[in-house]
Amino acid sequence: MQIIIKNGTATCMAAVELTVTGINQMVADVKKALDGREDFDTICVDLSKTINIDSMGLTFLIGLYKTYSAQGKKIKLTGYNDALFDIFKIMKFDELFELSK
Amino acid sequence: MIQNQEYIQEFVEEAKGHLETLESILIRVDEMKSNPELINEVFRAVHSIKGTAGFFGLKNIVSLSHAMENVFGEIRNGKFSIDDETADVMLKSNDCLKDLIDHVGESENMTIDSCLHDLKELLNNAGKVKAQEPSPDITVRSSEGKTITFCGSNVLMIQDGIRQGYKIYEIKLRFNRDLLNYDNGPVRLFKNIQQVGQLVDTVMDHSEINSFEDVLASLDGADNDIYLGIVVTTALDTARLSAAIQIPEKNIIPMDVKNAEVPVSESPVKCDRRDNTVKPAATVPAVKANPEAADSVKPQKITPPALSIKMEDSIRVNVQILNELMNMASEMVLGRNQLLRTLENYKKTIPGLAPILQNVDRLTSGMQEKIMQTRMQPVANVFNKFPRIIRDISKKLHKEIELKIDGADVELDKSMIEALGDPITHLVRNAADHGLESPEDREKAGKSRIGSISLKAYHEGGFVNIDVTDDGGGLNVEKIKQKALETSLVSRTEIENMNEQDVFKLIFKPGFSTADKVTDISGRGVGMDVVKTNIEKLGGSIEIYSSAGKGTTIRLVLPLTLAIIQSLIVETGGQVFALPQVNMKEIVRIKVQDSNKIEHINGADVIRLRGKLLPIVYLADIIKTAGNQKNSEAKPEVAIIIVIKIGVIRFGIAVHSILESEETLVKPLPQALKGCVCYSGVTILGDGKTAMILDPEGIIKAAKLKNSTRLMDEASADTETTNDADIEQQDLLLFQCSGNEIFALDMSLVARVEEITLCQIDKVGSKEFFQYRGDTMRIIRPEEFLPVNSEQLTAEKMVVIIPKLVSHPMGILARQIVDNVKTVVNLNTGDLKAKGLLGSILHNGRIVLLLQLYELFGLADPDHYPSESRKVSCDYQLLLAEDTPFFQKITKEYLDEAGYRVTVVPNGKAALECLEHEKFDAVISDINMPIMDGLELVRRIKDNPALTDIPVIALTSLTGESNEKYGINSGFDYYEYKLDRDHLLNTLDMALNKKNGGEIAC
Repeated sequence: MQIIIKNGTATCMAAVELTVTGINQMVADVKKALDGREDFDTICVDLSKTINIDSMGLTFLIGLYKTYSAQGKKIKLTGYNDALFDIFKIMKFDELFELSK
Repeated sequence: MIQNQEYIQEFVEEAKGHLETLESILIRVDEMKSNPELINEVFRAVHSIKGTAGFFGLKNIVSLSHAMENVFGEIRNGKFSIDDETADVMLKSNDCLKDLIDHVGESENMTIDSCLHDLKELLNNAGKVKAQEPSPDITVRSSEGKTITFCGSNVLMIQDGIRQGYKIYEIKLRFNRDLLNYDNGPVRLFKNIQQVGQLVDTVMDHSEINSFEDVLASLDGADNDIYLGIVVTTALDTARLSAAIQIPEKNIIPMDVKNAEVPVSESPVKCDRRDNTVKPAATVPAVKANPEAADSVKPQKITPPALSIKMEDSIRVNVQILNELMNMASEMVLGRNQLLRTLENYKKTIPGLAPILQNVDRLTSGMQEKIMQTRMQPVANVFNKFPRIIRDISKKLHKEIELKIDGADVELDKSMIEALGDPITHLVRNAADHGLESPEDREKAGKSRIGSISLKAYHEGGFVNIDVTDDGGGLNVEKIKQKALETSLVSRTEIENMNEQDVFKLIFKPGFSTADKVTDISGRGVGMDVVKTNIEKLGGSIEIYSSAGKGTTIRLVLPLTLAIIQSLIVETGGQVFALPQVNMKEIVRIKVQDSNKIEHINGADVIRLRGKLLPIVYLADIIKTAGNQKNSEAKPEVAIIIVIKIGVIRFGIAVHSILESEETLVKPLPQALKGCVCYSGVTILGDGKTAMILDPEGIIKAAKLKNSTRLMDEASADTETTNDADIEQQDLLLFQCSGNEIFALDMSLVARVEEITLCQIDKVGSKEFFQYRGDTMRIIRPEEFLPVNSEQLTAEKMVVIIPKLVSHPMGILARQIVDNVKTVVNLNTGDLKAKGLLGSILHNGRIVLLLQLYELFGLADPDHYPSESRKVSCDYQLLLAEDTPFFQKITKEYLDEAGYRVTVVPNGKAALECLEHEKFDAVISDINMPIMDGLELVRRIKDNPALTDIPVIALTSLTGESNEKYGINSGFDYYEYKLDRDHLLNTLDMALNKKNGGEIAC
């Protein structure tokens, strides 16, 4: 997962598939890029490439939220397609994340 | 993002239905205040639009419907109450939403900022307005004993589900354990659920995932997981739902619908009104909801107003498929016609063919009719938008307007319904703007301040009529004339020759308007001409009825459908045409020897039909089939004249012959013939040949008939109104006996006419008899008793006229029936006076002798009809009110002969004047009379204590039980038919006896 920190925002570029097979790597990438850094207050997960998500992918997003919101960070999901948006609404992710296409 | 046109179209259709519901409710502000279910209904409608639009990525529609939903949500949650101002904003938003949906393809580029702003303002002001009672929450209990409370929009979805008879389930899942291997993941799961039911809500508990470590632990198979509860309503049972969504049955927990409950006290299961979501007790996941806590809630059953299970009895079908089906059915009708024509000659030679053809014929017609019905829609689809329009117009014009709608369930073809919206809107707006006076002017005119506009649809004679009626000032003939002259729409000469109907029709001229000022409602002079053009395009016509000070009715006369019409197949000049039967009134046949019946008046050929001049149009002339032939050669020797009536215009189309009547399929005119006004289309006949379909409206134009028709009317009027008092017409049967004289008998005295041959007549002594309905009836030959010519009857076939209203009927033998005419009787009693004859009249230049039936029968059968009728022994004074000289004379004769002294007056008013000055023993009165009719007369008599004892007998031609009942209810003591002498005399006896207490008091 490519992560860029700029202007107080850490942008995480999610892969095409946000599924069980990539979770370990994604967790490792995020922790490596963000842990110990204080120069950001927002994490923005860019889902514009993502076309497939499974339950573990959703769990990863919740894990990301729980980990960093506890540190006072704001978590945004952006660039998602309609199918992802539908599932975010059903799962009430709008209560956790800031959703922005 | 619009993904699939077919689904989008389905969404548009569905959304339009929701918008109609919305609008129809939003205009009922007062009702909404007292009926929370209406708020729920609008909420549901907007919510459905939003949901589906979201599926298609229609952001503008989603945003607007979401904003509207928020407002309705706040109203429903009691934050503020709806009022006129709120309704205005919501209606405006509804219009905007309608616009977006109508132009769904461009909806993303349309601006909705103004509406969103207004809606936001409403919400901002929400706190300032008095709150309504919040809507109740619903608690449902699962089979495991767990309870869940629903609130907000979820209540509506649950209630909807209950209404539909659906089951409610909670699908309990552990996210990773149950869904990780689900094919295509949670996205597919939710789609699967939505395909078989309604997803009401989800409840998620992610308290076991608090960090990335928990995520990784879950990945390694630890228990850490997300718990998900999905509440759905569906028609499926557990097993089928399990199969459909590929989730094990153990994860699907039924919620018992019967246990749907409304808590009356505060529920321990909290509901967040902010987002209308389900919150199980505390933050406990839905699957772990505490049954004990829920049990402490004292439940109250939901009142089940709408709990009845509604079965789906209709399906949505693409109109294109219906159109194709309709086309195929129409082609099948053609095929049927051709089949029947081709096999007609084989019916007798091929055994069993006839019933097969009959069956094919019947089934084809039935199928075509049923398919046609699938396209039929109620005019409510058009009418329903008018409450809103009237609401808006009345506000703009500061007029109080009441809208009445009648016959909204009358059905018309879909294409007609779609085309009717604009014309009727024009008419309604005009009625409101020009027709109805201001409330102040109405009060001055003695009317209610509230003006009335009514829309009424009804069937009449194979047509659907739509009346747009207002109770305003009526059309001002002089003002229309003046405006027409000012705008040079017509010349002064033309306008001087116009009758009232012609003047009314000026309002349909392009650019015509009598409005003193142009408003944004109407008055620009466009509209009425468009109305006329559109209605005529639909094959309909417009009629105007207006009365000064009372109001105006504009009637749209529309065919039921446009695809297949019943036509008369006629031939002229060697060509065959189809003439639509809808405007056809009758067919008149004129023989060679009667060609002098066709006269030439005002430059047009005419015939006199029942006293009225009827202009004749020769089809051969109009279509120029004769080529170089002279017109006179093209005219048929034996003319068949088809009488057509369109609006107020009546004329005859002369053709050579009529071939048959056939259901014809209307196909559009080829491009090359588009300019021919005489044709409305083309069809294929049963023999496979094509035929042009005639357009009577076009024929009127081509023959320039309008003026000549008016002149005919005037000429007819001249003939008919030589004596104003003599306007009632008699229905006469004209016949000839052995001589050349023409006799007439009033039709009210004729029971039947039977054909008879000479050999059916038996002679007994000097009297003749024939078998009639199992009995013998005497036949008389009038010429044997009257001073007329008598010759030997040699014709094989003759007729017997069977009379009625006589005590001993005898048949009247006649050589032939000449005609049945309705004519004004100017009776000449001086020149041809004889017993058995009332007198003579002139009809079409010939003398007609009117029979006095009782005297004639008296001459033939003195035993039963004594020449000296019974005489009353007392000197009774009778008052006879009768306007028709013919009936005055005949009735007075009966009464004089019976010994009564009779005073005759021509109307009810004259009768009342007589009663003021003279004493009468009884009053005999006609019902239909000028100045004052019999009904009014009898009311006045019965209301006057000095006259109330006088028996009043109705003597009328109005037969039938309902007429009789109405007459008696109006005050008549007795009800008798004209010309029934015996009954009248008996009734008089009875009435006078009763009046005198059963004793003769002279």
